[in-house]
Amino acid sequence: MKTQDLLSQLLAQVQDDPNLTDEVKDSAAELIALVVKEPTPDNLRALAVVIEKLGDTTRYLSALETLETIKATATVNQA
Amino acid sequence: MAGLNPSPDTQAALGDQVSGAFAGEAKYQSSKVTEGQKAEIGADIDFRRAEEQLRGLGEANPVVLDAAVNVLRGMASFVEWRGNRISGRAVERARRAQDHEQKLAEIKQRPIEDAEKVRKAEIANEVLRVLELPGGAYAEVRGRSFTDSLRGRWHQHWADVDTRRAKRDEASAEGYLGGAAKLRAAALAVEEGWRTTFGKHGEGAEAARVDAEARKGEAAVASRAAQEAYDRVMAQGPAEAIAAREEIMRTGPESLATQKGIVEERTGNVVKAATG
Repeated sequence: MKTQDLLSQLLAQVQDDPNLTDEVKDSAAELIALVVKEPTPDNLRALAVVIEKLGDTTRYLSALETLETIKATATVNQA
Repeated sequence: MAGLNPSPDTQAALGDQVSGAFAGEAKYQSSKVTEGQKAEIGADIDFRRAEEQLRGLGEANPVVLDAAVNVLRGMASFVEWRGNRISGRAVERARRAQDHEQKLAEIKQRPIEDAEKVRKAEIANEVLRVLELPGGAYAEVRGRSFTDSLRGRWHQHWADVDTRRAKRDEASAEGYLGGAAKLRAAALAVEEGWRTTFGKHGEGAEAARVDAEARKGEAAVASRAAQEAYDRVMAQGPAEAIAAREEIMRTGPESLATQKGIVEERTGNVVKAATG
């Protein structure tokens, strides 16, 4: 798969992610568009760092929600 | 290619946002249950390490790096906003659960006086179970205990009712005894009154009898006088005396008093006719 096709798929995936805000989607789309125009190794690495943090963020929030639910349950059980 | 060189404002903003993204972490430090897990997950994000990685990309386009920093800043804001929202929602959920627990405890404290209240309390407990709020299982266990307590109160209630009914029956029996005594006294009073009244009637009857006897005597005297007058008239033979006698005979047996009056009247008439 060509790099540009891969970036296009990545852009579509980010735009369709229901867990991201419009602000994050817009800024990510801008970054991807810049990298598409200039897909140098370091630009791609910069994009990779950002995309990795994007995934970590989503995972973090999901885990946070689960843990908060557990905490709420524990709080009630201790009452 | 230009090296990584974000502007000082961008770097400062990135640092602030990264710090802000983890400001919510402090809110959770008090929770011993989740502190370890959150620190571990938070370390995976580590925006500061991401920033250092970007700075290490000496061949990247500064415009691309600024755009990358901008995305990280947006994600940091997003994490803070979403984290606060999740935390707030969890706090609200815990508050609601505790509120239900409190209401359940209040219901438990209230005296159960009738079947309707027992039914409502059981419905409230069922609602708590159906809601499946955090702590629902705990509330259910508490609810079962509570229901058992209600059943105990339910039986106690009807035991009290039976006791009250027994006391009421006892009071009714005493009332009946009192009423019987009163009736007996009343009966004695009535009997005494009857005797008194009967005695009075007896006296009256005796007086009437004596009076009647006297009247009979008077009537006999008058009758004899009338007969004598009649005999005298008959001896003389006037037609009016004969008519008077027939009138007396036609009148028939009336009361002694009336007869006496008639006899006297007729006798008078006869005597008057005889002498007139």
